[in-house]
Amino acid sequence: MVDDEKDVITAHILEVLDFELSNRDFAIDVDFVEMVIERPYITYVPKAEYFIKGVMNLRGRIVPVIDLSTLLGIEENTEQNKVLVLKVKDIEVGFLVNNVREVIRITENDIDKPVGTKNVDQKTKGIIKYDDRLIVYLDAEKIIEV
Amino acid sequence: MNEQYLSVFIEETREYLQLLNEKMLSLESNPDDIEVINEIFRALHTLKGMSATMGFENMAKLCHKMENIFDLFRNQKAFVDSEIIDALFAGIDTLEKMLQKILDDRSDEMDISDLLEIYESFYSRASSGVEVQKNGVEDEDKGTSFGNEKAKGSEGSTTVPISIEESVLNVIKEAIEEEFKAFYLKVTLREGTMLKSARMYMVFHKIEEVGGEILKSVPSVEDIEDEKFDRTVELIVVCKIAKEKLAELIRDISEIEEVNIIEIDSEKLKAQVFSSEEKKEVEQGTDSKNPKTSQVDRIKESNVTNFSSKITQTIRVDIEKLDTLMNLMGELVISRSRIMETLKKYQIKEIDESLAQLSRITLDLQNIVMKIRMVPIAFVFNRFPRMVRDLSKKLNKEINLIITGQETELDRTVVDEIGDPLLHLLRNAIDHGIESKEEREAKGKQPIGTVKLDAHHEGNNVVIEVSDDGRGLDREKILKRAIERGLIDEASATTLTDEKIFSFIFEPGFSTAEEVSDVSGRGVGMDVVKSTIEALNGSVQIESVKDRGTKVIIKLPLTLAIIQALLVTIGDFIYAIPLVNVEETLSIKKEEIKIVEKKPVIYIRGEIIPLTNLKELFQLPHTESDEDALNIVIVHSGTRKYGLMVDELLGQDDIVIKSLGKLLKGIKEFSGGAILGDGSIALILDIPNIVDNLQGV
Repeated sequence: MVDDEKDVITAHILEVLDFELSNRDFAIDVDFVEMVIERPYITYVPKAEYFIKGVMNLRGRIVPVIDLSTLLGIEENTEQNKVLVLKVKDIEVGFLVNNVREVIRITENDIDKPVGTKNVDQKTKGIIKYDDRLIVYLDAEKIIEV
Repeated sequence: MNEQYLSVFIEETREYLQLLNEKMLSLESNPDDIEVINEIFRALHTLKGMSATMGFENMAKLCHKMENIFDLFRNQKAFVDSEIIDALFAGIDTLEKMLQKILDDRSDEMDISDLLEIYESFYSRASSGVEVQKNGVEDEDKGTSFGNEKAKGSEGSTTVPISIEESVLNVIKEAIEEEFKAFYLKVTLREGTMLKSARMYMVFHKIEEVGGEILKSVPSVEDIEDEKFDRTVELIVVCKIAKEKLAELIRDISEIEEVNIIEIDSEKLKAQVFSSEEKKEVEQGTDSKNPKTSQVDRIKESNVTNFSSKITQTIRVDIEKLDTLMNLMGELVISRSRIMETLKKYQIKEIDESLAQLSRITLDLQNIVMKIRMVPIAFVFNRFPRMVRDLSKKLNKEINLIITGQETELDRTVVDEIGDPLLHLLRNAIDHGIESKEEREAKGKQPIGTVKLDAHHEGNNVVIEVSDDGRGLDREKILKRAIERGLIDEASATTLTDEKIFSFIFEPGFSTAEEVSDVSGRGVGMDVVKSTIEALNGSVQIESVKDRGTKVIIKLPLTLAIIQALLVTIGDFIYAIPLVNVEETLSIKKEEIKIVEKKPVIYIRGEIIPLTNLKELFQLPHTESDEDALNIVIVHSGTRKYGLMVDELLGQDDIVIKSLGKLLKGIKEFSGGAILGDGSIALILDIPNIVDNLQGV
């Protein structure tokens, strides 16, 4: 039984995009990622939720930009000049990030499920151990829900 | 068959059928209107030509028979009666069905023998009294129609097959006196020529190059430019070179199939013009003896352009392509701004000019792209008069349909969706709303029922109203049905407002009609109306007074519509205020602000208007300006007015409202965003909501 299960799991290779936010490593399902762009001009939207940085013009569409570090409660200490454009459940949204690294392939086995109750933990799928690094695996769908 | 031509054919045929429907309706109410008869005749004639060219013989045949009937009418050999009108309407319907068939399976095969029989018997009945030479009639109609395939005169003959006005004749005479030669030219392009107007332009150019002058062209130059001609253009030209030489020059242009040339002798011409007119009169005048008819005929003949220019040329475009176009446009604008920013550093004069040019072009392009999506609601409204006519006949009710505001522009997607719901509402109004003639008379109402269809802009909405002066909704009956169906319990029924009760008719399967007619009453309809409109983010509302009538009010948001807005800056950002909400803008001095009940107000012409600092409302960093003058935008929502303090007034602009997306849906202060010329985003203030909000504070 145990062997069977393991087979199934190893067959499931996940592709995630590894990116940097305030000197920490994060990852997100690559399926959600539409593109990575240079940080465009962002128009502030009064009265919006605290984590929404504003809106940007993405090829004629108005797309909200989420300040991920604020949302996750991480101190924002470096210049975030990349925007990760995602499409989750038909909602297009941009995440402000510092740097985008690469697409990495992992299996379910590489993920430690989240246990904490902190803000970050509720929006993650777990921690990925990869090349001696610990990468926070974000749950894009949960982030969009807020 | 070439699909490209087919789509043009289908689109144009649709337009002609629409025109035919409209004209037939006006003919029905005005059976003696010779102008309308002529227009229908010409439309049928063109349709016949078009369908024959495309190889749809069946369609051409039907058009031909219908055209014959109109030929009788216009020569007053027969008169319009309701029987033939019905038969002709049936003909138009059949043409529509044929078109659909062509669209579906590229064939116009259809049994039209019944119709043809009706037309033929009408034709023979009408013409049996008078000796009508069929060929004569045909020849004559070819002569009057534009784009005619067969001119009367064959090559070498001296008769000029087009009519020449007195003024042109005078010029010809003068020219001949000055040793010019006058020619009649018939230029035929090869079949399948792609850029017809460009070819014709080359012909014109060639003639002008050799010092020739074009006095007249059939069809007109405008129509040629718009490619509104078949393959043949007839010209009257004066020039100094010889006949053969001119013909040769024109034949040298590629894709010219045939050039017929006739030298005009002014004396002979005059005689010929005269005799052909006489001949025509003889032909027409056999039983009419009415010189007026032929007069009108001839006037219309020279005004052929009017007729064709009335038809808007359209093509169908996938709406997704338009979206892509719009987005690409946005990118182009941004790229342009970037290039400009970059080049600013170098200050190259030559580039400045071309950049300014580029800016202008992009701006024009942007405007056009924005407007392409908008179509007048007439696209939908146009089909209703015919429907109402048929229905009122069927139900034996006389209905006066009044349509207003058909020029109101709506986004194409909305227009495409709104047709069916409106059709349902009109049917309901006529079937349930309007009473029978006897019932109306008994109530002391006008025997003719009125149904109104109106569209207008109201704020950021398009409002479409369908109203009738019929019996109104039966409050008690609806309530009874609602209780029966368990939509509401009896106890709470008494507390309901009319509005709430009327809204029950939007429930699926809800019908109070005791009899199910084949028009309505099955309870399908109103719920579909509601769901369609709600899917478009709109709302439906019903007002009704017993025996006075019912009014259904549909409000549709302009999700993609272009609105006029005032652009202002507040803090570092640009905001757009819809112009419909703007009362006026003014500049005031700080001292003019008074405090009433701890709130800032200003007095304008004796009116107290509360002031709001948008910076505070939007929680923007407060920058105390040293300037004495303050810019105020007075906005209104309903009857309430507010003064909004802004930093700068930038002027007005047409903007496209775009949604801010689901994530920002909760923000009531903004109805959307707009992308400005430089690619930046302006949030659009939702004035009614802001005012409501302020009122609450």
